[in-house]
Amino acid sequence: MALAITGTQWINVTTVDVSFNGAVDPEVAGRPNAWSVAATAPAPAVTIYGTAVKTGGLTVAVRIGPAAIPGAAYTISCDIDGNTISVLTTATPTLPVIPSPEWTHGLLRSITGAFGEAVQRFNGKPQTLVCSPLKPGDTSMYVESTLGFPPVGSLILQGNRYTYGSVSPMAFKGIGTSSPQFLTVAPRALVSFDVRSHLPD
Amino acid sequence: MRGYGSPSGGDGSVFGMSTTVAQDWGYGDPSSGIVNPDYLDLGYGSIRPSRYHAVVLNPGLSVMPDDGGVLIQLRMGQWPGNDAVRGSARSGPFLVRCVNSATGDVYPKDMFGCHAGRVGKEWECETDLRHEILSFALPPLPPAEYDFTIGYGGAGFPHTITVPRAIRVIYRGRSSVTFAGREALPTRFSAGARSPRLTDLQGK
Repeated sequence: MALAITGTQWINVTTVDVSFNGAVDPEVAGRPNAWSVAATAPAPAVTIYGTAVKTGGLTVAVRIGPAAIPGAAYTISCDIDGNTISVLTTATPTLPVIPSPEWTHGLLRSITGAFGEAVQRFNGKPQTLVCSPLKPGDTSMYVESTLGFPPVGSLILQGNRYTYGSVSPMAFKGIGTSSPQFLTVAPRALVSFDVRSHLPD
Repeated sequence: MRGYGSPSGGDGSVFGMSTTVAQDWGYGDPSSGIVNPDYLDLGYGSIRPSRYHAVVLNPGLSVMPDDGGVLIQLRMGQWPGNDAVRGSARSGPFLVRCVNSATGDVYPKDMFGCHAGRVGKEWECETDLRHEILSFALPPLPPAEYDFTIGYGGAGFPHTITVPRAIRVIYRGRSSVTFAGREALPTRFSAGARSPRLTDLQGK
């Protein structure tokens, strides 16, 4: 029997459980690189930046960011062994919106945050953090935000230079590197835009 | 009854349309006040609906960070004057709020309206002296799409201009300078994460 998606259940605006009619391979379905999501207009684009296969392998918790629009329709696809399985799902209109826990700032935290943000805007070098492990051979790099990054350019990550061909709200797509990558990059690694690559010669 | 200046063609149709119920026929029309944006009549005495402003204003979906603090400037031909003389006094106060386009949640939650971005003005937003630019500071918002609702007209803000789907909020960027600055402080101070490895990821 061919593997198929039997249903979806939205937990909140960033999480949806996708159920299959058979057990999926955690090594494949447990990585966001195997997944993609397309928003139906006029809903804005979102990114699948994390996945976790639940016990038994019949359900995968899919993290969608930065947030799905309640009531909007999304086509979620999973590429397993060369077969693409898709499902059209509508985000529940009454999904709870999750407030950010960082909204209660301390004084020093606010001052250092504001100062750092001002300096960063002045020097014009956007930065973000990796939010999903980046393994050798991956073609997408999942990050917290692509705010301020140009649609095409180069990145500096742990001393290596990566190029990317497009961006989505939480991912750089079509990444490549001239120096071979042997190790997995863990989440929370700092990603900086390579400003030199963007400047005219 | 159609008011003075009514553009009737004499055959019952107006502007080629047979439906005339929703039209505002200007001065003398007893049905004025019923305005359908699909059949705008902006002649003498016509009541201009707020959606007309919104269409003029909205330049397209702008992407903003979720931690707020961005100074937003809304430019239009001329903002309502609120009895202020153009060129010599700013027009205001305007009450600006952000409304989640999908859920209808109103922000900011902890203030009456968005901060004006001017010292001592709190939520009382104002235009520039030419009444062309209305400015306010964006509050912290969860990632989503937002409308701007702009109230004006004095006590109770009886009039409202809505800018639909004005902004899209995504997670903020990071700054290595922030971590470096915190790292320079003594550890007895609670200054937040001193390294990217110690910080909480957005959306987790």
